[in-house]
Amino acid sequence: MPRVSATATAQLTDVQHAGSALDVDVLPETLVQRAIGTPFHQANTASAANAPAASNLPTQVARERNGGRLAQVESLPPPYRHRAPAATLHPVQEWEGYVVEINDTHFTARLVDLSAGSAHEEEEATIPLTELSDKDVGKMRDGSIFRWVVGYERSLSGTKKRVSQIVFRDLPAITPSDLRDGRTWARDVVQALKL
Amino acid sequence: MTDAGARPDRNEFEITLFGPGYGESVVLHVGNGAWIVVDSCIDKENTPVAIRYLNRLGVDPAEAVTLVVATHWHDDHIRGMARLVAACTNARFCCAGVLCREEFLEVAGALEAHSSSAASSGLREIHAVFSQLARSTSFPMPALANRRILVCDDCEVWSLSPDDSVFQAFLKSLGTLLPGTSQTRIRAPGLSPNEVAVALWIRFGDVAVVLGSDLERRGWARILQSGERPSGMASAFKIPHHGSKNADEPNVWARMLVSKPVAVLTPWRRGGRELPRLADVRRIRSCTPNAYATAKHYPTGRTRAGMVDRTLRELGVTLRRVPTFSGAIRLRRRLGADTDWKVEMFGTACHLDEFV
Repeated sequence: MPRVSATATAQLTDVQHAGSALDVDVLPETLVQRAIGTPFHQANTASAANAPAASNLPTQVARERNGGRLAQVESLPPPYRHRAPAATLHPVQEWEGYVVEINDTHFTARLVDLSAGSAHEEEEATIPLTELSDKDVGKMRDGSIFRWVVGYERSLSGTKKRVSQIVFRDLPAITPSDLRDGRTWARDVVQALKL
Repeated sequence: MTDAGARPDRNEFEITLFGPGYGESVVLHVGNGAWIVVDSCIDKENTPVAIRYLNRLGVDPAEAVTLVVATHWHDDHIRGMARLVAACTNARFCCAGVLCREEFLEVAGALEAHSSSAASSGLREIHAVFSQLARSTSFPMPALANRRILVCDDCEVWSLSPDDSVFQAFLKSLGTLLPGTSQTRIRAPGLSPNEVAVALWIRFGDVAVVLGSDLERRGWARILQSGERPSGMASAFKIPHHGSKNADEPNVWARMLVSKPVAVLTPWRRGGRELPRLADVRRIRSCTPNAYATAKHYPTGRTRAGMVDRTLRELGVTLRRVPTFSGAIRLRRRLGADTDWKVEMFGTACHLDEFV
């Protein structure tokens, strides 16, 4: 079964919301199911408004349905039924940053402009701590990495407002495997270079 | 530097210092078409400034560069170093001996092998450099105090630091680079003080220069105590650590440099801290009237969508542009001629008097 990338997952979300085309042949069954949005046993009876008809599905999926291979996930509820409609964020500017200085009221960070496709830090921002949640303030330290989006948030009622959203990246802690990989790499370098 | 002019004569010593406010690189001509590059920073097109400069002079880095030195691994001195090393195929790479130790490389490997951050880091650059060296089996030269690291024709290069005594302390401090067991990954911070920085003594003919890297005062005190360092007085000085007081050792001016030498520095800014401070400028000017900086004024922020500016203003966010390469100071001096250094300034470079 092919591995689903973040991109594929993003496409999937698009399908759920917009009903656009998706190459289901490259997705695992569970995700195909989620993309279709309706359990197989309901598919033939569902109205066209809330689920695509089986005849409209790509051949591969239809074949797999007929073979009953999706039976194992039939008991899963369609995700959209449990998801509250949400506002959408339209980024105008995105940065990745890392903290270089923290004081009582502000923190300073170096920023890579992701919107401009920059490869290195070209800007530096001093940001009030009030922009962060208490949890983030507690966790933040020199070197912490975050994503910062400035853009418009559009609510379901159509209201549009400007927003700034800073999300600290909870990158996984160093694992024994990282340390092992580091040791292996170092040993290889030391041997190759006779250090 | 769009117009680099003509390349130096075969008997002409050249030192060109690049540095916009964050990062520095020094390019030296040491006679007979041989070049040395010390540290690396990048320009707006993400190219190491040393490569760009040599290309503009019509010099092929692959053929002409004989030595590349990374004085330490802080990101303002090492950005673009892996590409520089890859381009200078004939050059020997040199860095502090302690960075060639397996303990340091293990930390670099653990932190940087699987990094997913878009931001650069000095440790990642070191990781890339050593990976590159291992692929090409190009043996690095570990720099130690009072070690002659290059001899060619009438030129010799000595590393003056780091001293053995700082090795253990550095290796012990490596643990602080690794996050704790429950902590998330962060961008690898630098280690302070800069005690493992490599200061260099470079002589061509009877003219010598000292490149101070970011070496701090205790490191200079050790150099001065050593009886094994090369003798003679240098007539040009790359001032250490951007003119900071913590890197100033008055006896360096008295015992290693001629009276009123040509002194050059790169400014630095990070967060609310800037170097050199006004007091630093005054102190340096009291040592020599021939002091220059690669930049004084910092660029303003870039233009972007009005709503972004409005949002940042309302939030009380201050956004500044991190300077990218725009200033350089070039010193040239012909051997044998009874002349002093000829100083040329490019871009934002200025005399230190302009800071006052």
